[in-house]
Amino acid sequence: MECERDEDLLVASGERPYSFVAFYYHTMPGLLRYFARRTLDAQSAADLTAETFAEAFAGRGRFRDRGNGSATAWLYTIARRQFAHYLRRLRVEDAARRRIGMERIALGPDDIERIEALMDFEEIGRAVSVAFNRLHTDQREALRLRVIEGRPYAEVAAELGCSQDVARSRVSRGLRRLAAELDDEVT
Amino acid sequence: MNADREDRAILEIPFAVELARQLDAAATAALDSAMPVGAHPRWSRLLLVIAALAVACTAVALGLALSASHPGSADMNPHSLIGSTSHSGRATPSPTTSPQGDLPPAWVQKEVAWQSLAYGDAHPEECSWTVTRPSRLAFLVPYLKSYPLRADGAVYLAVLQGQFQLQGTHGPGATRLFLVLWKRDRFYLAHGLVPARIAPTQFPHMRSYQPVVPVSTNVWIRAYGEGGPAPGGIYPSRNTKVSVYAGTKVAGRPLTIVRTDADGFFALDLKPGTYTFSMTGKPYTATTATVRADSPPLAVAVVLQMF
Repeated sequence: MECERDEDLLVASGERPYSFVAFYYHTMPGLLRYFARRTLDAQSAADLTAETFAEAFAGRGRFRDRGNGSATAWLYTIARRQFAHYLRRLRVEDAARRRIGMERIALGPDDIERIEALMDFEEIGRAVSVAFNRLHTDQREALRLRVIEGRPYAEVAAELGCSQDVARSRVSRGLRRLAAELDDEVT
Repeated sequence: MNADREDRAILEIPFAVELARQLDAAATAALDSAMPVGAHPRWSRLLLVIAALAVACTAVALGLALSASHPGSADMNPHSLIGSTSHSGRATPSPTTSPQGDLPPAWVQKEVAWQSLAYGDAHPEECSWTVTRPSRLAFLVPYLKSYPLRADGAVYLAVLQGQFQLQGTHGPGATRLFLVLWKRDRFYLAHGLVPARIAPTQFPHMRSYQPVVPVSTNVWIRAYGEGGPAPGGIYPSRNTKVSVYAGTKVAGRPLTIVRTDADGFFALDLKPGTYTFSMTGKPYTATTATVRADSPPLAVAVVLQMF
């Protein structure tokens, strides 16, 4: 049932699970943006988003409507917990997804480009540069080409003399490492 | 790119689509685990989605404008309005007559009246109705033969007699209009013009009454969602803000913002002219309509196409 209030959707999803999908449509863009800007890694942001929704779905019966905004607050409580775990372990939990039968979604090039566009590289560039020199050379070069110069992966790969997948991997690992080291500053 | 458009773009990336599909599957599994023995399997729900989308597309192609209304709440600028919309935001309908006969529930009456208006007849002659199973309506809507409603899957069938016309068309029209409404969740499974008379023997227990459009205002807004996750359908958008703009665009300050009631309706009076209506914050739901003097209430649909 299409409802406007996220709280109504969540409450309704107890008896009508499809309401949760409508809740997902309302809140997913914001949550993906939240994780993208904090992890600086498309795949991790996607995994965290999926795991957060899986945990929210599994625990939807525990939600209590405490007024407007309480559904979003509840969702982001789960999100923050997931993100804290990610920072500690540098990996995303998948327990909730497994519990409700969801599979990990591997991102395609289009996904990666679109999610990276949410990261607002310009804003975080200054903070990233502080820790930039701590990275391994290959990761630093990949980040320089992709993040600082904004070049497409095809060019990054050609410049580094590796495949596009390897280039993506270096960018991904480098960004993740930066995110971890810059915990407070970046997040 | 504004925030709404950016959000929609995010929801269209393959990852977001796949995640929605997986959550939908999880919802199906959760529902299945609570379904009684003998309930329809998952594949039939998939068929329903396809069928619902097909119906939705057909409706759009035919230029159908679903719009219904009902009293709702809250206006920001009452000076731009005329008539019975009050400051408290409750547009009080004041029908001059009451429906006569063997009446269905009030919400069914509202749906019947609104659809009649949307199809161009503000004074339908008669409405026959009954409660039945979707599979019995397969002769009218073939996909209902396997509609995956569960044990509580009873539906209302309402058949109106009057002079109906598809919006935007000028053909001979039809004298019968049917609606199929899911009893439990109150949403449309199907509606349309009936090509032939339904034999009384098919539904010997049909009751009838004379419908009345229950508003005295000149605009009757209906907000609803269309499509969405299984089982799809056309859902009333309850307690939803609808902005009303003068002219043909969602631009500038709205004349008023109303909030639909618990069934997704709002009735208000507007001066003659052209207006654009959209769910507040969702300009892509905009629909434009012209209010004319001395004409029947205008049925306005504000539709949120769900993924």
